[in-house]
Amino acid sequence: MKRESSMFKKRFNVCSAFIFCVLLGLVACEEVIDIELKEADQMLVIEANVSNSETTHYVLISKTVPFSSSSTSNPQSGARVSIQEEGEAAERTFAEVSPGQYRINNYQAYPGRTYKLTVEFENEQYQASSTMPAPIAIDSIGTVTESFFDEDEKNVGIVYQDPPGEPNYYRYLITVNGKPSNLVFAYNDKFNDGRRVQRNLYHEDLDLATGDYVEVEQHCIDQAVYTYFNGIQSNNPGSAAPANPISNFSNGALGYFSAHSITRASTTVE
Amino acid sequence: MKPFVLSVFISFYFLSLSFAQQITLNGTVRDASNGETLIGASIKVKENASLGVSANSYGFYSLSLSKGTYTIQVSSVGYATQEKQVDLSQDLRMDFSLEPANQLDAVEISAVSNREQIESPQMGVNKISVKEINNVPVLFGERDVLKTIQLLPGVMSAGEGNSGFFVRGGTTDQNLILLDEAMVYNASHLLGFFSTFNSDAIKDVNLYKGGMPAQYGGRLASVLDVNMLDGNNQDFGMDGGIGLIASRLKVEGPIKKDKGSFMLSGRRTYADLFLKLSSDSSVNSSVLYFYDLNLKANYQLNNNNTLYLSGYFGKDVLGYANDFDFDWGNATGTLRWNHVFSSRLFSNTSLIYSDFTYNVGVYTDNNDLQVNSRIQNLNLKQDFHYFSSNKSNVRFGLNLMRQEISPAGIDASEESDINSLRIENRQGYELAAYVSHEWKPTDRLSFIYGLRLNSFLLTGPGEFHTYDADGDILQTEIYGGGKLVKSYINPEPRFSANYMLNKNSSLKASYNRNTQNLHQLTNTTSSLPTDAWVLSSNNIKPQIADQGAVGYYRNFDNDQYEFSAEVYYKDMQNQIDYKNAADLQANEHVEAELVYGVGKSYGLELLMKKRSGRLNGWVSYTLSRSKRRFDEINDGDWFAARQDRIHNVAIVGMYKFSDRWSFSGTFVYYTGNAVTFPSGKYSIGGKSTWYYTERNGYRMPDYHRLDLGATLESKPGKRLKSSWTFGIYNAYNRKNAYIIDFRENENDPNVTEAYKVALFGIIPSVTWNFKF
Repeated sequence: MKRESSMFKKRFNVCSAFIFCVLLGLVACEEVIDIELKEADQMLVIEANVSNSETTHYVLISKTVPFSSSSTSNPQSGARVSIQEEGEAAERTFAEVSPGQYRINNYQAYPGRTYKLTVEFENEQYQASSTMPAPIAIDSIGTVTESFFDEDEKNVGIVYQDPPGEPNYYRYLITVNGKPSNLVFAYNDKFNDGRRVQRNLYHEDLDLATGDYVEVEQHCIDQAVYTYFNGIQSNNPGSAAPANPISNFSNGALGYFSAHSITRASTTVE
Repeated sequence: MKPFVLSVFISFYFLSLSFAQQITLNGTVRDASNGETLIGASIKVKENASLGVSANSYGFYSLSLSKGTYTIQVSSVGYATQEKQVDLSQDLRMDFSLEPANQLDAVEISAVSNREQIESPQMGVNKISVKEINNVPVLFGERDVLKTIQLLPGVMSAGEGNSGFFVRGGTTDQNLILLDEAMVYNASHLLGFFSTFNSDAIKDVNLYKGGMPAQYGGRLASVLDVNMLDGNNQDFGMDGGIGLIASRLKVEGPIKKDKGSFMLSGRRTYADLFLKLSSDSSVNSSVLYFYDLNLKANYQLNNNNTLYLSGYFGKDVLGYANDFDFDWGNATGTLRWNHVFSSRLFSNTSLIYSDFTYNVGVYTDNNDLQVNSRIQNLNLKQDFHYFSSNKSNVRFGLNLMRQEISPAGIDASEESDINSLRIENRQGYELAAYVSHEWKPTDRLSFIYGLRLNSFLLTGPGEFHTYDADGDILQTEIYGGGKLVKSYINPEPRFSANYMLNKNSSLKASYNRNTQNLHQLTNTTSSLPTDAWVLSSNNIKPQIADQGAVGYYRNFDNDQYEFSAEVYYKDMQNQIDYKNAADLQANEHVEAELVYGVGKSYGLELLMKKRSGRLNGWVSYTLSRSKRRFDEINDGDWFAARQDRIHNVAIVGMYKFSDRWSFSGTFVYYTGNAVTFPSGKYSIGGKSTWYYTERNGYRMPDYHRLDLGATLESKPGKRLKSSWTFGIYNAYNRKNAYIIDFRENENDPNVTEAYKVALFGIIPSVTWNFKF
């Protein structure tokens, strides 16, 4: 039932920025501060992806760390990770290739099928299912230039045809000059069902310049995975009550399992 | 409903019989200089101080006496007391016009009315005078009712630059804001930096935090009842001001001397004129302004009939280059007919319209669309005020309101990659009947008790869904126009009592139940004009609050000082919160995003006020908690509401240094909001992601701020009176945290840091005011 409204949010963000800066002539002042934060019990985090475009897939298993920790990574070894296609008896297991990183080779996943991922760790079992949607073609990709206070802002836009009469959910991964960006772009078709859509991949932290080589991966994801990533992008400083994104894993694990189909496109920013 | 009304009338019949041998003196009390009615003026018999009444909100009074000769003494705060000899042999109409008193002499003159907080059984009420509003320094020098009430105990600001306020642990949408009886849906301009109330047009402001009289209903936390000025019925006048942000102009005058008057007051900001000076093409083609227009006219047809027409219209307009525009605003209209049926029975009939709309337009290559939404109501109110004796008066009436909400709809062009969208309108009827009896059985004891019977009917046409816990549709039913979908009936008992311990102190206790059928949805910390409204429905139950309070009141030093202490406990049912990452915008299934729970708040409020003299002002302290519990949130445990600020202090001082100079200062301190911060972190897709364990388990830093103001009046005796008002907001430049957020360190993404954003540093302001 989750639908996003990033279009509105962005417009209002623009609005508020506009008000603060122009009318009041004041630049809100920003400074780094020290805050004493509690140390929560460590929680298991599972990040699992299966796509149609490769036959090698990875699952990352880690635990949360205290906020003040100087490293965000806390990989966990010794888990048993397995995958099973719904309706099939066969189960394949992943092999741990480096601490916390589990891999499966020669496993082909297909759109329209549902996969179940199981993680057994420290005598607990965590499960999630995900159904891979059919891929949607990217018809074109190009540079979008928007002028904001007389400064040109460059973004990459892609055009695709949204399939009518069904809910579709999208996630984009962007790589700039060979360096993957960790920004989250998740959308649904609440306002665009059945339309030919130009999706401008705008993010305030994505500073693109002429000549940048940008690769875009369009993931068609299922509703639960969209809910997860929308949960991440909804936790902005203006939320009244930020919360953990809703995971599709059972038993209280953080993270997600996504079976998605991928289409790719790339462009050089003009 | 019928038996209820009938029984009310029967009880009146007997009440009037029992006092029929008495003669009544009745009439209206006005300001002699401009004909404004004086709300709450005191009318007493000099020979017997216990014989007295006060004027109602239309300045009407009715005093019952036996045959004889009396000296009638009429007084009101800030006016010279007037005395008239009267020889009563039959019912008599007598109007009074009081002369405004010189401010410095006001000490003894206003003393009578300063006793209201001790003598009245009403509790949980604060009155703010326009003089106080005008003297309190505020942001950019824009006088503001809503900013001023936030300095009272039990009332908290919803945050820096936010006109929203929290009363006794309630949310901002639990306040009923009335302007001449019309509901104001969105009382803020510029996303909350200013309120919609232009103080030039305001006569009187009452805030009820508890013990609401039965004539008010519809919200849980408070009633803010704002009355506009009627206009001068003696002379034409003009006054206004030029400030940093906005300019104001008011024109008033008689329609016919002593019979009728009008008042027209406007305000507009002009920051956008400066935008035009910019060389930046997207800035100079942008617009940003708001305006307000208040209008009121009244005409006295004869001694027994007066008509009032009042209206408000305000709008904010915001546009960025040619890409985007956004406007929103309220419109209200009130037509009132005061009728005096007899010397004891006063009636007011009001027809009220109120409306809030917003429109957003986006005009980019691939998004060419408009979004609009509207909420409006039409309200018919009939109020009677029956003065059965000097010790007893009864208010009763009926209220029929139709409320209609048009949620956000989208109109997109064919070329746009967005679909047009129309979400069904929702309509509901609120029917209420009330009776409230104010009774003073002995010199020491008095009561106001009553009952409000509130019913809400949600009607078609439309598709109405019910949802399961995951938000999936369980059932859909289609209703035709006018067909009843769901109804709720709630009796709301109201009770308050006053026991006078001695001449200068009293104890009061009150209990009241309030219900609410209109709810505003917001899951951001700042309120936006686009926050959706919903009615109670098959999914949403009416919010209910039960509040009990006790208080101690004492005046000192010839009523120059007043002290009050109130303790309250409030229990709330059917409170609304949101699912994680709830989608509240243009969502047909918005009710599937809601969760329901309970709340409680309790606190102690202290107020010490000095009402007169060269130095006056107040010190207010509130100790309070506000908590919520929802099965779906925080593992079902109680958590602190965002507005759970434990300590709240406000100090307001106004000092009249000379005939020309006066100074003012305010200091506020409060505990930071309860907020949700992470208690751990992890990595998803190479990005640091925060791990949250409990709702609102942390606190923002304490907030404090000092504002200073000074006013220089022109030399007396000129026809054109003018004054300069200087202000300094946040005088010691405290960087109060507006937002605290967390991010990866720019140089080392493994390291995470907290940062704060502060909105306003020190801000000076100057305004020039004139009057002629």
